[in-house]
Amino acid sequence: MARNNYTILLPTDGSTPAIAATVRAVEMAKDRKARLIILYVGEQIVAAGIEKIAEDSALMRTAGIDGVAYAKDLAAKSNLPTEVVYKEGAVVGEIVRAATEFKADIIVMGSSTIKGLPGLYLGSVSRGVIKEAPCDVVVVKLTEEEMKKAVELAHEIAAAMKAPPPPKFDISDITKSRKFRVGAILLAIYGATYAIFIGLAVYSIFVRYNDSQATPIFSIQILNMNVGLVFGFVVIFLAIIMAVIFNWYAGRSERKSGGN
Amino acid sequence: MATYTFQPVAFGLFVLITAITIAISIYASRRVRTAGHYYVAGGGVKWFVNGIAFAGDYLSAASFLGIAGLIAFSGYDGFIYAIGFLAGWVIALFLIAEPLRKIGKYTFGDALAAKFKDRRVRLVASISAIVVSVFYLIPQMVGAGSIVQPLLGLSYEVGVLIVGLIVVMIVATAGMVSTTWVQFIKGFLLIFAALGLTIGVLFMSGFGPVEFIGHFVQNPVTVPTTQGNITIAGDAFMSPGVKYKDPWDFASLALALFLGTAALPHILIRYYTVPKPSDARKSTVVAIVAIGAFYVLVLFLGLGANFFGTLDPSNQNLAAPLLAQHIGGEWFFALISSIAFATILGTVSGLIMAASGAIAHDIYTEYFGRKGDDKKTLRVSKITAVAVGLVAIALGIAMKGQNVAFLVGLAFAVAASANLPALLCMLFWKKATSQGIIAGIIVGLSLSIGLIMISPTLMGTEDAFFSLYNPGIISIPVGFAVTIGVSLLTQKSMRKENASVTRAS
Repeated sequence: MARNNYTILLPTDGSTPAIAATVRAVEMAKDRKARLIILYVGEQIVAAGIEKIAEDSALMRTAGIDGVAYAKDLAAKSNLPTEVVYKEGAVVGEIVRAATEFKADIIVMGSSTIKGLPGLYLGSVSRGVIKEAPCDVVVVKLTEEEMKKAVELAHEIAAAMKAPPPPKFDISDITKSRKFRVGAILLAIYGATYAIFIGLAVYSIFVRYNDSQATPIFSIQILNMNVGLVFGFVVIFLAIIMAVIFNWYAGRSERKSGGN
Repeated sequence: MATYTFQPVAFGLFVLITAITIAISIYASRRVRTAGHYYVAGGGVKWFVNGIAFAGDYLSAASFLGIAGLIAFSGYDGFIYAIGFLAGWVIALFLIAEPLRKIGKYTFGDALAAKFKDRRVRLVASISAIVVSVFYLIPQMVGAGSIVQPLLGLSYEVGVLIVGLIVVMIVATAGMVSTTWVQFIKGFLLIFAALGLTIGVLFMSGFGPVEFIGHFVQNPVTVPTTQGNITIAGDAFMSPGVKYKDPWDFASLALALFLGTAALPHILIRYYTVPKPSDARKSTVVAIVAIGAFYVLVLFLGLGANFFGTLDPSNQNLAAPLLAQHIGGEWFFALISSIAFATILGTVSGLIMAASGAIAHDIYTEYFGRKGDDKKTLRVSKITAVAVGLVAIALGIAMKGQNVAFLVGLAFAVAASANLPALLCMLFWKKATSQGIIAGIIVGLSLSIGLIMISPTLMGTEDAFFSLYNPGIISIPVGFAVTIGVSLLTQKSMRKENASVTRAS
């Protein structure tokens, strides 16, 4: 394929609008004999449980469909070569960056048109791309019938692909690592400190209400304060110091062994 | 009993600041997707956002309103809450963070089901997650009712109802998409608020930080009660035993605080949001530093409230907002109240997410096998959010006048008794069986709640069958003993199951 070819950039996340865009982009690439680049952007959103489900639903991400695999399969049916690019970051920014990097002539994408409050929270990616893109942008609107066909095909492809085996419950690489043992020792030290602290506090209460002869240890004055307050601050600062040191140590041992 | 009147300027500011908080959270959550300039969010910020969101989730009304109030009224016995609430994070850091992220599941029930392949384990674990979340929601509602009182001049009950409904509505509609950002912003707000109040206290009293604490140790302290003021020697006020006269009570509380943190469902779900186990660890470290700094500052808030006498003996939870009013007038009061409200909003959304996640994901989708329809799952989760919120409002009204940190201490005891044995045995004990886990959760949950029902909190000091306020020292060891004991008794059946699995494959 010639280098100065017409280049189409197709960002996809497996959502219904993205699948629509995929159909159109493959058609265009066929007609123009263009170079087709499939882009997937891993998002920076920190989302837990229901948040993730709410987001997927708002963006019409169809459960179980891998957008990149679908685009590759569809292109392969027309004997179109494709290139796949994975990025991570702010979605709009990464799409614009990829378009610049690969000198795309056109970006073909879907428009999610999220309704209501989730739309307010999530914003429109296509609108952002139109604003920032260095090239033409096509926002695809398929007819309902075309859409239905596209989603059916997507489901067929998804069904044909084997579900990955469920990951094994195995955390031995973490529990057997040296940093975990160091952590366990630090926890033991901290636990012992906390136990002594509480033990002395309990003893002080006991003395206070049952034995007027002895002095409650926590009431002994030092440094303008008393033992209880000073010890309390030690327990607080010990947690912070241990956390920071452990993080530094674990980070170093991860870099040494190359990742985690 | 103090009476409060409607303060229009403060209320206007309160509405404005709350709106700004929500607006910023919307802006932040949009920005990560639609930022045009790709250099804004590097790959490494997830753990930082998650870490501050941890702090935001964790530092609830209990920490800000409750601990400040307890320190103002009970001195050292309030400070122990600050120490214990932080200490629990050490367990999360060293034992839980990385292994739990490695398993990579959605919820606490998911993680357990991944190991034990038993639907009942999932069901029991998710019920436990819901119960703990409701227990934790009660104090948030009490906190909400407390701050509305001086702001609007409304009664406590109406306050809980209004604020509760608003919060539930926000969470059930918009909040489902992006609660993380609300937590993130409120985490920052809280630390700045505490810092501002501390500086105000030191500036107005003219003491240095150490001097200020020393002043309390050296001088008699006045504590207002509903029956009039009492004076306590400073030395006694700043030593354990003002509130907890029974040493066992103090020990029980300290145990529950230490072991409870790592077992809270709304904290655990946050471990699944970061990409790598090492990010889970880094988030936890960020959380520990932020939370630790906050708890040092909260001591000054509590003592400051006592120093300036900004105390309402009928509602301890107002110590920090009333202190703000004394320091900076109506404006500052409105600012601090809004931050307290944002705090409640954030924690409530985290808790409701945990509870509705347990119902929608664990029970509806997985237990009853209704997979594949996100829209229905979402509807179930929203119905759950409203239902859980209404239950919390009712219980919040019933718990009028209780200190919110004290109530959270009870939630910690329930979490530590029911969830911690299951969590630790799942991660680190090969011989744990699903029967052991189920029995441990059920016994831990019902015993801790049962003991609270017959404790002085609900039955009054005279009639209580069980004399300790916090059940932790009984129910936590029993939870562990049952989990381990039943697991050992059911070893045979597990071996049989394993053998049949091997034959089948």
